[in-house]
Amino acid sequence: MDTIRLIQQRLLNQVLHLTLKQPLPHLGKFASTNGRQPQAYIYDFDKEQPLYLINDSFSDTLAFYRYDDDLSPNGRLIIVGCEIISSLVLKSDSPINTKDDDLAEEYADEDLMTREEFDEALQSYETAHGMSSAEFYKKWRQGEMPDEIEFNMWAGLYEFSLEDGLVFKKSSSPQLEKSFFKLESVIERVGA
Amino acid sequence: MKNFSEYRSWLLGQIDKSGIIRDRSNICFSQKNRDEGLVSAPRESGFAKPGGLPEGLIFIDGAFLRFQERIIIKKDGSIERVFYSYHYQRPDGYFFRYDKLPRPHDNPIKEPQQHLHAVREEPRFPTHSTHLVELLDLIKYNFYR
Repeated sequence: MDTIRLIQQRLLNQVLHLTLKQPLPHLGKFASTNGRQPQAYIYDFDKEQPLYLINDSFSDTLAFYRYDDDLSPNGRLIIVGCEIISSLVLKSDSPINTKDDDLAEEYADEDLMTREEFDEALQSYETAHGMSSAEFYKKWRQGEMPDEIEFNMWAGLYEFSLEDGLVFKKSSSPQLEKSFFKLESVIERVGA
Repeated sequence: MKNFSEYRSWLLGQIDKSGIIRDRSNICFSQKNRDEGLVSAPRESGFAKPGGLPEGLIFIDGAFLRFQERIIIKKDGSIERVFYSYHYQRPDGYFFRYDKLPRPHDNPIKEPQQHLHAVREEPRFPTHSTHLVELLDLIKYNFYR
């Protein structure tokens, strides 16, 4: 398919993240056929046929998250952590028995801020408004700042910064190094 | 919900599933411990980029939802939102914002702890306790059908 050019594969605690570089409105769905060794397809819902099959060698690195409010009789799953498009959905022919501990834990530090990023975020408010966070917070608590989302978020961030034991993502975790692959090198075409 | 990490994954999945978000790359998570954290979009000040609009989740029509929420996953699995601000704004400037204050205001008539701004900063209408996914449903129904 011409529209599929590249996916990003990020091995993070053996979780595979797939990212298409552009929205594919009719190609955004996956189908999984086997819970133990899930085979994932990019599925063309217009033609009602699978287009690409994720290689088995990669299938066991896929992570699934079950939505209890979204289970069909056969099980209905969605990949999380993927930045593909909203319609990316996993469907299974049989219920997939994913251990609870295999779920969201794998994505624990995805999008989690590093200490540096957190400090930069706080500093961005200070720079934008020309005052320290402590000075701002005192005014905010006294009702001297406008009731705007900007200041609500600054206050929330600053209050959070005052708490002990915050968990930050390591800034140079080798697990987060990105690798890029041609889509065709990871998947193979199936069907007509 | 077992912990904040699971909440994170659930939330991202719900955002993706909504079908109306074009870009959620601005969302970020700060974690206090296993059960508590802060979710923001975007992470930086809305005025950090001169001339730029404050943005967060970007919708398919260019509208945005700037938000922050403080989450605690309780032992029974329920989600406590200590405070939140969800500011939805359309390209034409129309906006509404649901706020929950971290503490009750001295004057709960003027500023209910949970309130809604609609188009203007005042008045603040008292509301129920809401959350991001509920608002995405509301937004989708009203603006993206």
